[in-house]
Amino acid sequence: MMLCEICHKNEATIHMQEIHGGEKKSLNICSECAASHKIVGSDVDGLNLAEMLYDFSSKMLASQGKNSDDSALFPSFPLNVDGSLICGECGWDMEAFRGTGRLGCAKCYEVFAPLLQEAIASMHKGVVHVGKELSLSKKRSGRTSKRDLRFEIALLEAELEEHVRREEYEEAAAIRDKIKTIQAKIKTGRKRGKN
Amino acid sequence: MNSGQVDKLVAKRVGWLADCGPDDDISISTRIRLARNLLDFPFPIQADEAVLKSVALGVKTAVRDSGALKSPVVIEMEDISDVDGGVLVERRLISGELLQRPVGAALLLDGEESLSVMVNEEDHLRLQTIRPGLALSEAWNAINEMDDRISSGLNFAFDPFLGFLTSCPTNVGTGMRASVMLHLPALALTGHMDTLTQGVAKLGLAVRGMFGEGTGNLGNICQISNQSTLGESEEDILKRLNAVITQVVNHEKNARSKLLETRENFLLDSVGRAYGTLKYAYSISSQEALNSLSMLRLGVDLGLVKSVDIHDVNELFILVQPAHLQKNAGKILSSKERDEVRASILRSNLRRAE
Repeated sequence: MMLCEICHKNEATIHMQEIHGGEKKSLNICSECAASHKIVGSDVDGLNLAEMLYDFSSKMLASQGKNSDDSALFPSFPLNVDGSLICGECGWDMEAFRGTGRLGCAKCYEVFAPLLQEAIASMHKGVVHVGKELSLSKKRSGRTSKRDLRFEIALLEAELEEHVRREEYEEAAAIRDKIKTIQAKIKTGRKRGKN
Repeated sequence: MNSGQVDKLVAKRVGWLADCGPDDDISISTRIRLARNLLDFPFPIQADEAVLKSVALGVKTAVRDSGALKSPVVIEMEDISDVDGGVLVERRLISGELLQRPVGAALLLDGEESLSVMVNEEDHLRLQTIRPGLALSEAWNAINEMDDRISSGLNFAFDPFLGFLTSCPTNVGTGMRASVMLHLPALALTGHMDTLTQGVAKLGLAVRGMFGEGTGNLGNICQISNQSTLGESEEDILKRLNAVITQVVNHEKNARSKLLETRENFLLDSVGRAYGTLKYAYSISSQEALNSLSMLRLGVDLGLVKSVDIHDVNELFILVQPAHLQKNAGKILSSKERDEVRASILRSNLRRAE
């Protein structure tokens, strides 16, 4: 097991590479340190949905108590007394999550996204659901289907991977922004649908 | 009353074993399960008793109203004895986990033991179907229809990115685990099981023992199932699994013909000794019984033993399990007593079968 290069305690599960003026730098860290140091770089493995969500979560953490533009997109979740994540819906906290590897409710998937997403990426073939949908009658609204948007994201992701492989980071970043926009569309759409 | 339901089950042959035809001699059974949760309630692990009970009530009502199960039977885990719980586990209708937290935990079962729903296991609902033989697409059609019916009456937790949300992230997405139980005695006899396990693992599939994780290679029976539930459609997962199973079955067939061709005496000796042990032992452990039954089953499959019917052998794999032994004996048995009762059941059933 590779240890995190920041805390030297946990397993390094995030592996990043950055290129500065032709010089390659790599950093191997754990998810906690990544979250606390708000490290988001042009990381090769992570330039995918998992990383997007991870990025989302570090923003979420950063936006605690601040009035950032993102606050509508990334609502601030309550934190535990020690500052760690806790689900406001069911009370599931970091300790419970770590101890069991399970989640307490559907909402936990959003709350624990920072720790969850890379784990999900490592245990599954992909990071986006492409299987059966809830039957049509169950969908909350009939607007442009989230499924179409999701497929668009999946396509963009493939494109993005290709750019990263070719080390075309500018293009990759542009696509990453596109994906974020679509993702935000889905998120806000879901919220509106709920109310 | 609940105990009566288990009595009725025990009186019948195991559904997923009963009909297996001559082509099913290597693939014993196919199982698919879907994990589903209700959006508005915490998952069972974080739910208090009141929540568990209202989830159970809601699910039972919805399943009944959906008509997804024919003449459904409801078995509440709080109401049944340890032995009855064990019987359900041995028939693969419930998991051990369902018994560990019995409040609000229930099994909903159709009359034929082929479709069922576990309520308040790791997830609020675990839909399951088991069929004899290799029947992935048939099983998928059945469980997909059951899922459609049940979901019309319930508000499932579903995320457009992550699919069906499950208590454990290993199940998120399709929530589907499909597994096929295989009998691979020739691969075991020729020492190929480890290679097989490693090869299958490389393809992203899991190999486990007869009764799930950690049950080893008992009776040369293993289950091959999908690991990943996200990023691939149900159909693609099943196609991949089917392709691998078909290959494994072919390897087993080849190993069988090779054994017949080149080591017939060794094969006859292994089968004959196993048959003799089963027919004449007065005390036999579960492990020895399962391994001997495996050899006998191979002998029947290859036509070396003609006096016994394959169905009777299949049934014995379940009847020699501890809970079935105690259920049929009508009392709790010590380990030593179980070995004796097991031997007695084997003697009488094999004699009757001849």
